[in-house]
Amino acid sequence: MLNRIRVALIAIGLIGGITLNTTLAPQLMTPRPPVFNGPDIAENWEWRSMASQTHSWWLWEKFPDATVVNAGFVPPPGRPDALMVGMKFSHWIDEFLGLDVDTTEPALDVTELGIRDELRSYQIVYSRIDCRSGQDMETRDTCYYFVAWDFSLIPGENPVFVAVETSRTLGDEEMALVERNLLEKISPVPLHELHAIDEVVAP
Amino acid sequence: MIHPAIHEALILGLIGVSGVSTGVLFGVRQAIPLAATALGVGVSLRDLSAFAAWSTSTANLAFDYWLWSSAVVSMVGAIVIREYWREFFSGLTLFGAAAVAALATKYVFDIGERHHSDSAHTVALALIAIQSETTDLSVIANSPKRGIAYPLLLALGPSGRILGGLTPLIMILTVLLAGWLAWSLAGSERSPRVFTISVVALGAFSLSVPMFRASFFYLNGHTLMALGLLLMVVAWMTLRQSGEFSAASALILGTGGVVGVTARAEGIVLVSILVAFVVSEGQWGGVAARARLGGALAVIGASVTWWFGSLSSPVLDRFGVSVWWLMGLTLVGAALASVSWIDPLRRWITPIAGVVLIALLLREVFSSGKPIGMALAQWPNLGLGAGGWATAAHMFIGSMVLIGLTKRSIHFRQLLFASALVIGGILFTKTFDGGFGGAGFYDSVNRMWLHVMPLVMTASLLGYSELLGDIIRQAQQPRYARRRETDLVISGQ
Repeated sequence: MLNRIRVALIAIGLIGGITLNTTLAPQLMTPRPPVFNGPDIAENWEWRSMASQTHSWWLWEKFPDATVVNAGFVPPPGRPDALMVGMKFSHWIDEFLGLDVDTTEPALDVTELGIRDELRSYQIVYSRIDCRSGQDMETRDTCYYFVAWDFSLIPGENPVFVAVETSRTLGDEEMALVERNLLEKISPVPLHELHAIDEVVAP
Repeated sequence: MIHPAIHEALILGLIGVSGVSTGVLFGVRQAIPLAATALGVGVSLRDLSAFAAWSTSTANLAFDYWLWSSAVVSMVGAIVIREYWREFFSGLTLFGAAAVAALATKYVFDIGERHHSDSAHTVALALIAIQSETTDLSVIANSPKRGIAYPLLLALGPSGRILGGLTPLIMILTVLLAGWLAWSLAGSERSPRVFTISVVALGAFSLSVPMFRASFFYLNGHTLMALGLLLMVVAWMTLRQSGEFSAASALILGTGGVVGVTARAEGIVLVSILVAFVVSEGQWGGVAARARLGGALAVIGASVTWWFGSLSSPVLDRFGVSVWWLMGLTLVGAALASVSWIDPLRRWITPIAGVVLIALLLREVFSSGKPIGMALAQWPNLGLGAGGWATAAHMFIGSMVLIGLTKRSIHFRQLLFASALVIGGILFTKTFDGGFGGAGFYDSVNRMWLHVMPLVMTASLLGYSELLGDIIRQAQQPRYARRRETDLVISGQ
């Protein structure tokens, strides 16, 4: 008799469990096509967002001879003791693929220039990237991230992409790689006058 | 250029032929363990041939080494095992069917993966570093935590593409092997009807668990390690049942161990726990069985040492050991585990391992400063479903309480004990990173529960079968008794 009760309780548990598992429990899979390589990863937002350490792979497939500048995750210029800022774009993949990435300086700050929407109108790919948007972001996390260029402006060889910070609003932190000719066209300030994130500006 | 699906089928076919022929050669005769062992052998061949290429400065020949070693093993097997061609073809047919089903999920049903940042990193490692057969091994060396076996296998895909069918294939064979093990352990009193009911009940529940469904399509080394650990348990349970450590058991233990230690870094601890269970068994009568045990353990230890050595891994520096020291320790340990001198101590090995593990975990908890928070770190994942496990943990614990321990078989109790120690081992390995993890699918401990899932499934299936079997026997006993009373009355008239 006791065994029958045990089996009955297990059966009730299994049926109740199945019901809860399929109705209330958080699910993990969402329909999406399979991934076999880098371009497949770049095809889909969820994968791209998780591929925060493989952004250079995607860029290399588009422009094998590209150069990326201001892609450092370093203390702001003039503030060696401050928290490191910028995007963590550089990865072991760069060296393998031969992508030229300059990581000596953090991203340029264009958050106050009012050009975010215009830059985003040129975005080719949207994703997330490991970053710190400024000293307020004590714990390093991820930012939204996009790559932008204008087909009519991009040079045929050796395009240069400049890392910029486009938003530091809490929860909406965003960085981008913008092709230099496009950035020069949109920015109201000459590029050499733009400051890096949290850079100390001499009075 | 052939279609990627055909390329994948050919690669999986070679893994199947070489693995199944090796299994038959060593005496594995049943289709399901043959097919699962075949994948284990395939992983081991890929591991060892890559380590050979890396350690001889011929990294550019890693694929060729795997191809030729697999071909040679296949041919030798085909020549030697002629009289067992039925077993060979049954194992190969099952492996082939599982491979076709796995490929169909990608190329016919177009099912995408469960993934996170490790998955993207693994794909990049497999394609950019391993498939390109780079001679700069530093990158491959710098990812010890995520293991080497899984990216090595993924890199066997068509040029510029991973071996997409591999991930579902691992889980299909793991689930089949868990079912087969439970069926085998049910013993002579097993009833196909009772076992079928148990499989249907547990299968329906498992399919409703999000993590179980995702594990068929999750790009990471966790499920590969689950297969490795289950293979080791198969070897251990076969030893317990048959009372002898055959060549087949040695092969399954060895390949399971190699898969486990190379699938992810924490596998070294988890494989060690299951090695402790095997070594703690008492029946090591002949020299041959002891030699097989020593050989299997030496291969497991040597493979992980070779992995680190061939890549000049930073792991060696972190723990301040040299390759030769580690290799020596491995061989001495394997020899010591198989000699008769330690026979009187064997039965104490697992209890001591359990006590040491519990002591280490308690020390971590109470030295953390937040003991309650640390002890409950996995509650959101397992208790509230945040990690994708839904009600799996509740159901497992509830089932084990209701099934009970005292009236169940020793195999069931041993499986539970092993599962408990592996769970403890998972928590212990996480303490190297600090804590017992956090909430959500992305937490590594939450994903590491996949390692123990096949053991838990096997224990549950066995427990359900035994409990249902008891009810049927009890129901039949009074009927026999009533009939005998009637007979007596009739004969009395």
